[in-house]
Amino acid sequence: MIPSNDIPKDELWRDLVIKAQSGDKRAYSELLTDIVPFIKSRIAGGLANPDWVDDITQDVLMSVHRSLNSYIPDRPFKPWLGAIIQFRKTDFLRKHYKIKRTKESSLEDAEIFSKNVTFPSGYDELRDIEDALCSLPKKQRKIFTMIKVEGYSAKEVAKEMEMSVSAVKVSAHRSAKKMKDILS
Amino acid sequence: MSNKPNMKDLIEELSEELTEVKVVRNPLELSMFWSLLAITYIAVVIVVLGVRGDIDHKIHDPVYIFELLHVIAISLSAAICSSCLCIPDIRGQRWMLAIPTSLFAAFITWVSLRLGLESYDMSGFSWGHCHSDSIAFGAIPAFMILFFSMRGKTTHPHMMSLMNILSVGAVGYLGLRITCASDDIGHLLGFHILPYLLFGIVITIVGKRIFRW
Repeated sequence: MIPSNDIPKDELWRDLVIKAQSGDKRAYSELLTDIVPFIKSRIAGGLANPDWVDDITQDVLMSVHRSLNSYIPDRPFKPWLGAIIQFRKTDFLRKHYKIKRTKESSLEDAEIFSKNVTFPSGYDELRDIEDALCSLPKKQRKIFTMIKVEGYSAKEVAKEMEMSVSAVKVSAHRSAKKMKDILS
Repeated sequence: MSNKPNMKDLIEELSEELTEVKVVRNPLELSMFWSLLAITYIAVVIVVLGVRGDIDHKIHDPVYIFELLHVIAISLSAAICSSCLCIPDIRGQRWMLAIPTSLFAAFITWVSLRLGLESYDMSGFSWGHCHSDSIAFGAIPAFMILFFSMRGKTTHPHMMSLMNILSVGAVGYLGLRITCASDDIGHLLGFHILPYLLFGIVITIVGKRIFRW
């Protein structure tokens, strides 16, 4: 048997993904672990914030999970993975800058403040937090509020939102980071 | 329980969630399957609506035959591209997108030339039987291609929308040209092309949302 180090990565990953498609959890775990450094190296360049690398990598892993059925084994694996990486990176940056733009406009807009701030006596303390919370997409805001404000567990939220636990955790983590970015 | 997943936890959870998956069909097979269904459906609708009265004369008109072949080529090539777009890396066949778009550009040029050179009258433009026929021709192929596309994982939602519109619009236009006796360019534009153009605008607007994954 050829040691795995001697097999070109693409062939190795191709074999692992074929096994994963047939339900082999061990091969799948090995594949995901193995592709993480490759994903990170592909997304690291050109990012303004190095913290985003982990976020995008998690996004890519979940996308690989969702699109596992779309890999047809007669083609190399890397271009397939590369397309997903590029797609998720662009998607992430687009969302990020969209939220940033919303934030920029809302900070200068008194009307948006008056609409979003519901606790006038704590205006100074709450306005930025509330504004940041409002800038999150609806689904993310709900997950974040349920976990961080109402105290539900990720498992309970996953059941309520009909999502996987890992997706809920990633979303909550992502929201917290976005809030932090907005508030800093 | 921490809500911040680390990479290892995420990989473990994803691996735990793994079940056997059914690999998508080869894009060429999928597009041929759609084309076969669409052509069969169009043939049935043509039989129901009836062919144009002057069809015996028109099948000897090379311009008419060329027009039909042209739209068939647009529909087939766009359907193949749409199937390839269901795969994230388009199977390395990005160049193929140029075929339906070039054919469509040629079609638009031809329509524009006819608009410039021929006289037409669109003053009496209103809802006509060709509009309802265009829905009859386009609805099922559109539903089928959207169903196939939404099962795919596209990384080019706008291009996917365009290819779907071209394949459905061309196949619908083909049906209308076989059933409607009018060759007036104003009529073709307002009654045979406009409905699919409007459908195209809607799909382009909602494309990113419906092809999200």
